[in-house]
Amino acid sequence: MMNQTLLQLMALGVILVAAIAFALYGIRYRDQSPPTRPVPVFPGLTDEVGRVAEEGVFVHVALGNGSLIGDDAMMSVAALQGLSGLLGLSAAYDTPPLITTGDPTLYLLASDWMRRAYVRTGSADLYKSAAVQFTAASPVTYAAMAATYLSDGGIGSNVVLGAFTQEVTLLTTAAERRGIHSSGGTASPQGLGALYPTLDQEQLVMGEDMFAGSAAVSQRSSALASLWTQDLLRWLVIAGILGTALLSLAGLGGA
Amino acid sequence: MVRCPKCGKMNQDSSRFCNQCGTTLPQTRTRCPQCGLMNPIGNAFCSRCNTRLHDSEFQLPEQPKPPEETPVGVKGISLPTLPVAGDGTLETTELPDWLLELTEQSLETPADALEPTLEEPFLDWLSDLEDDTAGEVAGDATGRSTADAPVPDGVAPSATMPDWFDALPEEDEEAGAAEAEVETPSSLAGVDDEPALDELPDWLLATATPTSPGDVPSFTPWPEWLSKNAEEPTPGQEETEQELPGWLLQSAEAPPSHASPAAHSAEEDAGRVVPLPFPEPEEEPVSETSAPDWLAALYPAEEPEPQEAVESQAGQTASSLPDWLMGISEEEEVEPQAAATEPEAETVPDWLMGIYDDEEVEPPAAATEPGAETVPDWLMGIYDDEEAEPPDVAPSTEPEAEAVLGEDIPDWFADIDGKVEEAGPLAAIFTVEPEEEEPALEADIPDWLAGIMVEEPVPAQPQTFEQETESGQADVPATDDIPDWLKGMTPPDDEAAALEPAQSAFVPSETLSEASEDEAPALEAGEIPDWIEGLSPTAPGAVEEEAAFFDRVSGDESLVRAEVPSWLQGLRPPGTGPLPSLPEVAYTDKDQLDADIPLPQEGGLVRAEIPDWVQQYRPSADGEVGEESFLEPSETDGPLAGLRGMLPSGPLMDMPADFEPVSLAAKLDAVYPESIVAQAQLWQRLLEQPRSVPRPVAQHRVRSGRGQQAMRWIVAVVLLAVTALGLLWGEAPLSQALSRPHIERFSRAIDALQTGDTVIVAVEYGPAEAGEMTPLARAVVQHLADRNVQITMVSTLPEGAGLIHGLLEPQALVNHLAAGKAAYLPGSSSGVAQFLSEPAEAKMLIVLAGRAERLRWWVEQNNAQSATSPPLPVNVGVNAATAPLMMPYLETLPVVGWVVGLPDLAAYQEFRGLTSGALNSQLDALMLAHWAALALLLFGLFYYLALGKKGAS
Amino acid sequence: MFKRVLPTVVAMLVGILVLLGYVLPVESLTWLRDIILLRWAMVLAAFALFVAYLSLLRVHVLRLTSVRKNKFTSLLMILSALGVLILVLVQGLEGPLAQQVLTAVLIPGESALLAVTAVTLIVAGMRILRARRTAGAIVFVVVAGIILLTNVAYSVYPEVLGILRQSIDVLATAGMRGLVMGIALGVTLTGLRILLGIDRPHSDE
Repeated sequence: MMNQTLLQLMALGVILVAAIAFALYGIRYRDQSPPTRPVPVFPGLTDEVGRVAEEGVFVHVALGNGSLIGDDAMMSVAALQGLSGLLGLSAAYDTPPLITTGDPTLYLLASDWMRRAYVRTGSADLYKSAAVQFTAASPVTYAAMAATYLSDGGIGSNVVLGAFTQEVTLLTTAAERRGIHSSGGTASPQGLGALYPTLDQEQLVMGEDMFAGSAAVSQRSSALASLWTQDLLRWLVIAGILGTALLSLAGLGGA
Repeated sequence: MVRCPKCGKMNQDSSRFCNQCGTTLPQTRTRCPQCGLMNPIGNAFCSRCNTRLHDSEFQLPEQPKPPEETPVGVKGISLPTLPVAGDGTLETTELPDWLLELTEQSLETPADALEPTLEEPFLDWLSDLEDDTAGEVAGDATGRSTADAPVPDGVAPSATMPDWFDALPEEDEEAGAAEAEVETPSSLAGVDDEPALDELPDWLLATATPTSPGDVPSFTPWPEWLSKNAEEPTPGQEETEQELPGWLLQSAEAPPSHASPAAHSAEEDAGRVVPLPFPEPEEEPVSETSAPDWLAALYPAEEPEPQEAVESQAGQTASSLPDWLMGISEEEEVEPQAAATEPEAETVPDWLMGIYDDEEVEPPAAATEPGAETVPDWLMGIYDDEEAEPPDVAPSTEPEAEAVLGEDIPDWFADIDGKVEEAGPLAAIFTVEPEEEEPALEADIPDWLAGIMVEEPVPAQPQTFEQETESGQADVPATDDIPDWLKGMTPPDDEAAALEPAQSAFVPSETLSEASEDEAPALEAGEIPDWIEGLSPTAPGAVEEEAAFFDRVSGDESLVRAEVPSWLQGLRPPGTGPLPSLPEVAYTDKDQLDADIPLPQEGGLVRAEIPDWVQQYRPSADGEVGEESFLEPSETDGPLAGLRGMLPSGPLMDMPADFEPVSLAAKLDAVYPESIVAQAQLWQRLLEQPRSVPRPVAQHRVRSGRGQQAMRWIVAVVLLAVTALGLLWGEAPLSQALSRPHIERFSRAIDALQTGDTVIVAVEYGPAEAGEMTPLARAVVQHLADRNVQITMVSTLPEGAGLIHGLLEPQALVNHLAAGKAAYLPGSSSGVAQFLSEPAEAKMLIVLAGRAERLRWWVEQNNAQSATSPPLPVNVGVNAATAPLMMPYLETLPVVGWVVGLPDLAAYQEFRGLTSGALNSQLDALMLAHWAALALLLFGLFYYLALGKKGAS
Repeated sequence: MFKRVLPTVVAMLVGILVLLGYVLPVESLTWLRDIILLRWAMVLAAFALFVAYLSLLRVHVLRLTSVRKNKFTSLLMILSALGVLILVLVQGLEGPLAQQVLTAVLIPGESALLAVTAVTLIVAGMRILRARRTAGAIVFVVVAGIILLTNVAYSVYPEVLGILRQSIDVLATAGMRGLVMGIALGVTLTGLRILLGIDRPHSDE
């Protein structure tokens, strides 16, 4: 077991490297858009808004159970960033999505984002607070309650994006029963195991691709620089793992 | 008169629309400066390219165009399409707008340089005279008597002319002969600095009589009164030079050295000449020396010539024309730097360029001067007619003038009111210096121009060009020589004296007169045509002459009053009112000229008869919105201020979806008519309706059919069946609980506890995982109870406290919590860290987690406590779903042992020697369920593989 | 400006302090993190739970008043929420009624829902080729089958399948580690953007 202090310093070092690389990438790509792997789920969300607006129905957005004071906080924030385009377009069309959350802190954040989307479009008076709901505190109960909204009708599209486990399959099944198009993703392996057989490749975002939602939607230089910094750190981690493994095989160092 | 092709009503020649039926008269159109499309005169914007055709009636550009800008090449006389930006405002509002603009432009010229730079907006209207489309020359299609008006070669007439051009009085034969006599002021001759001829319109250039190919006819600067915008007449020569319009100033400076390198040949000019807005003239040969007398009089002679001398100038050749008239080229090649850098540059106004007939009249400076243009065809024809006419051309009556114009003079010169007494300030412009005689040009000067020349000297007039120069003063042409259309431009009586030019306009400077000494004697050096000299309002003497001119002009009944069109009125400087139609006022003194004098009906131009249906497009100055006008409310601000027909904005367009018009009804009624409010309310109701009714689903959704429902039932039944089978299987167990090392370590770690040791048990599973985790938790609690340890149970889940109670109560165990502490730990990982930091003397940490993140909290925070105290040994019990995620933690961090789900529980119990039949049955049921799930998965895999792609649809 | 700058400044400051408190062994920072900042976060989370609870009641009350179906479920929801609240406030979670609710309602209900997920997961696995006809789908089914086959030891020749299971466990664990690492990097960069004030989910995007 490694020294705790050493672990903390390593963590600090990783953060500093990430910050420096992020700044450098941000400066380099402030005037251009670097090539990134497309994630078709996020641009497709805006298409869903238009489709349901034509049908006169709503989009259901399930944000999961990621608490803002827990480990899944960033996953929930990344999900909201990937949904920013959908929220803005919904506000413009005045067809707000039905957003359900399984955590109270996430509920507050989601309602604030939805309200700001209306403010940006200049129609703050059209925002309805009932568009964002906190359904239940436990993941399974939350999924079951959200599935009832899908069964009641009036939902044209189902988006599941956030921190989920296997209970997400209740949402996708309910949507499939009503013939509702589903899309989304999660970073949790348990949730991925439930979403992978249900959604096709263009409808599913897996793992760290969720954190590419901000770049895919906003195309801001900071978001793109963040992706490239992620890639850099990933290669550094891979190099560290391989190097450590080789050293361990050689009998040098090791854990 | 123009006959309406539709109803046959006779309209005045200046009319663009029939007064009876509103039919657009073919000759009254406006050319778009952008695309060249001929638009009806009533159009504010081009119907093709939406370019603004006319500026606002009461707005003028604030910022004048800098002189460095390239002036638009003048291809002939065109219609003003853009207002001229002036530095100041015009005082003499009775002057036609186009002339007022000229005076504004003249303010831009430097004091020491007669830089005849014209602003592009001003030049635009002149530059558009080129008849690009022969079809637009629709004058032939109408009954215009002037359809056959000659057009100089190279200048194809356009179909339309502004009203004020059309309002030019027709001259009779006498007037035509008299007008042919154009005195060239002596001051025009021999002026060294000559303006750039490339800016002069062709028609004016054609009148130049160059002495040599390289020479440029010189001319004197504009009269001061003409250069100034009548606001501040200054006696100083420099000031007047600055105040003069560029095209006039150019006439004063035309040294050969300043010839623009962009001088065009006559042949080049022919192709670029802007068509004049009148029909194609007859092809009439023009003698090479056939500079009209009146233009010949423009060129400087040795001394100002009397009026009689004008007649002798009919035969002057083009070589005797001042430089500014010579080599007037067409525009685009004019170097703005050449004009701007040289204060004496002869930047001939574009509208003056193109005068020369490219093919027949070649100005002497055509090769060197940028403005070397040939006389337009339409104007060249004039000379031919004028040759046969006596030099003295009395102001002809309207029909006479029309007859003459029909042959020689463009339409825009037609119908000028020849009444001298009705002449307004414009009369002073066209006052011909009587003392200058251009007999050589008389034969070449059309009657209508001959009438321009003032036979009688004007007693008082403002400072003219001649006064600004060292040369003598030009004579004011006799009144009889003033064409009718000029006579109509008589200023008010009290300002007539001030307006009467003491000398002819275009009085060149002494240098100009010197330079033009070698020119043909058609225009004596320094001579300014009387009709130009008479424009000077500044010099006291000139004013008097001008006033006298107006007197003469106003009294001339033959001068046809020009109808000032609306678009000309739009060129009025701000603060000035519309041109009055009645009555005429004779300007008698300079003050009256300087004042804001409306153009009277009697003394000025005849107000155009604008039909009522055109009147409604007129923007109102007060911005009042009436019931009728509300349908097309006028814009109140911005560049479209005053215009109607814009898209309505504001409350009518920006109503939100849930707009409640009731609350705004009163407010709306105060602003908008009730009908409009009712329409808005109807729209609101219509928009609200879709939300209250069920919306149809446009797209048919493919719901899960019976097959999928059957599949779910089948799977559920199969799973239930095998589970039941396994539970009820009483035979030998199908499954086996394999003991693994981590399970043994788990058990041995608890066995190592002593009595009284404190063990922290974290219950981190919820009701959903309780079915799988509760048996494991009970087994662990039982084991701990068997060891007689003190159990401290906590949970970060709110419902965990209830589960804890359910675990401890059956065993009659007590939860050994610290005083004041609850079983619920808020704050997630921070709460865990805080709990572990408190000294509790615990010997072990057992985490029973159904969720991965909560297990991580405990394990990580336990390791983080190593700074203060050694970490507690950790035993972990997780469900089968959490185990794969936690395996890295379980294998690396200080975890003693772990138990995963029901299989490991069974092995744990068996290791402890606590074999349970029920537990084995559950294990069997679990195994059978797994096999069933596997079978179903394989069935589905092969089924859809066998179906192929059809199965995916 | 005040509404935008102040939340950003607070977020940046608090984040940096908490981060430094974790990585730097400074007692004052640890005290500031644990005692001050995180307790404030607990209070805020509790308040958020209270607000979310009230919002839940409000939504279902609106559903009762509106002309919609499923009014009974909304009524049941409101009654149960209020009833359990009152019950726990009176007796606490250790009270007999609360325990009855927990053991008789919550646990069976959520367990049943989780059991339904088993059915749905199997059905989804059966139709995986319908959603994606790729080699990954076949590998998914094969691996899932191996896991299901080796999860419970057989009474007959358990070692054979045990070797297979260990092999799969290694691959699954490695893949899981890589996935979690990537997630951790994404979380790091997302948190870094919030720390630096580039992303402002609290006040603006």
